[in-house]
Amino acid sequence: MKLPEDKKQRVQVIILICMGIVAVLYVVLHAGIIPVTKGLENRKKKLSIVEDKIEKANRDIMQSKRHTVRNADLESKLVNASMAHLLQHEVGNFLLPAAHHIQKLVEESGIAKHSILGMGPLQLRQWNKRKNERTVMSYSVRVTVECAYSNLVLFADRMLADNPYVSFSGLRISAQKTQPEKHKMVLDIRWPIWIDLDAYDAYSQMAAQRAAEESNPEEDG
Amino acid sequence: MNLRVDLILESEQRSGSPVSGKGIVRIASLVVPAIIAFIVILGLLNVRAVSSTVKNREREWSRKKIQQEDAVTLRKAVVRNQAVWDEIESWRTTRTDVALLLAALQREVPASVQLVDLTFSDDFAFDEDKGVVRRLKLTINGLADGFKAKDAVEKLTRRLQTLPAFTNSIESAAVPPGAFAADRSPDAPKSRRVFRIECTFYESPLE
Repeated sequence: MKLPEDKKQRVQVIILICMGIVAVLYVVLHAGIIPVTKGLENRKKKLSIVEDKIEKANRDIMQSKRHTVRNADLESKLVNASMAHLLQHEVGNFLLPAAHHIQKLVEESGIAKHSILGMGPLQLRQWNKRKNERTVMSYSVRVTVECAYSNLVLFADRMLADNPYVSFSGLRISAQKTQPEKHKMVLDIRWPIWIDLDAYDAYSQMAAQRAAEESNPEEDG
Repeated sequence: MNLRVDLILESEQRSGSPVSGKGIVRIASLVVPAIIAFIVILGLLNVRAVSSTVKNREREWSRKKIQQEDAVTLRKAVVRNQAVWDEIESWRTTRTDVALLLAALQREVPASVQLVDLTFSDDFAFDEDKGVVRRLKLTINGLADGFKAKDAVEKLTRRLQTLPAFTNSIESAAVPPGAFAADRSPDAPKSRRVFRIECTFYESPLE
């Protein structure tokens, strides 16, 4: 194609060509390069998000083994605490098992006479800085005995050795003028109990399940 | 005189340079679109490759999501069980061995001192900053005979302050003002004194 001879016309044609080139470049940029670049960026962003999720999932999955072991250990401790150390109940009655236990230890400690009074449960106040709701509360009984000081020490020692969670919430020893060798004693003994009574069943079922798994390890794989 | 006549018309004139302007324009008109096309094609191929990677990774993610949900459930169970265990354990770690305390008292009471009444309390109290705390108190009422009665009571107070196995738990042991006095019972000898010792313990926060 030849440019026109006339200088003015030639300049006009050149300007027209330049405008055409700019228009084409604009179209190419907006219809080709920018959408492709944006599409690529979006996909890369999406890829980065998915890869982050996978990485987090991998980290969580990696920790699973450690958590499985830790959880099994915790469950085992809780099952043991629930069945052996938290005060058991008989159809919601905590006094009967407590009285039975105290009767045994009183006899072992050489204390002849005693009386037991249930003082009932006490729910501990929830502290607002505490992350979890409380799961245990206290149950106390009042035991009145007349015995020698050494018998009381023996009884207290057995009581505390028998259960690491039991404590004496109150104790009063009064000397008796008529019987100097025997003192009048009032003991308040406190156990932890589950707030939710269903927890007793839940942990005993867990214990039964564990026992079954231990007796048939091949079934578990 | 030399005369040079240029008979070539302006339109017939050609540049003597090996690279002509027109040539550059012609080459550019081919190369520039080709480069642009190449960039666009390369971009498209890249988009396709990344799309395919995204799909693969999304498939992998949907597989791992279930495993992750199980892992998160397990982690929550660990946190919950740990909290329950810590709560129960705090009953053990904060309790006072009363048997040990009573046995220690039996050993430390001087011969000239007779205990009449002993009261021990271990209450759950609430503190705004610490939450539920164990607040322990031991009160001993007794009799002391002889001209060294005061020394004997002071000796017992000092011994209570440094009671073996309780040095970290007993905060103070003291005879409150007016709690050491003559025994006013009708049959009491003149040298007999009554006293009261109060022991406070450090508070132990329950979990």
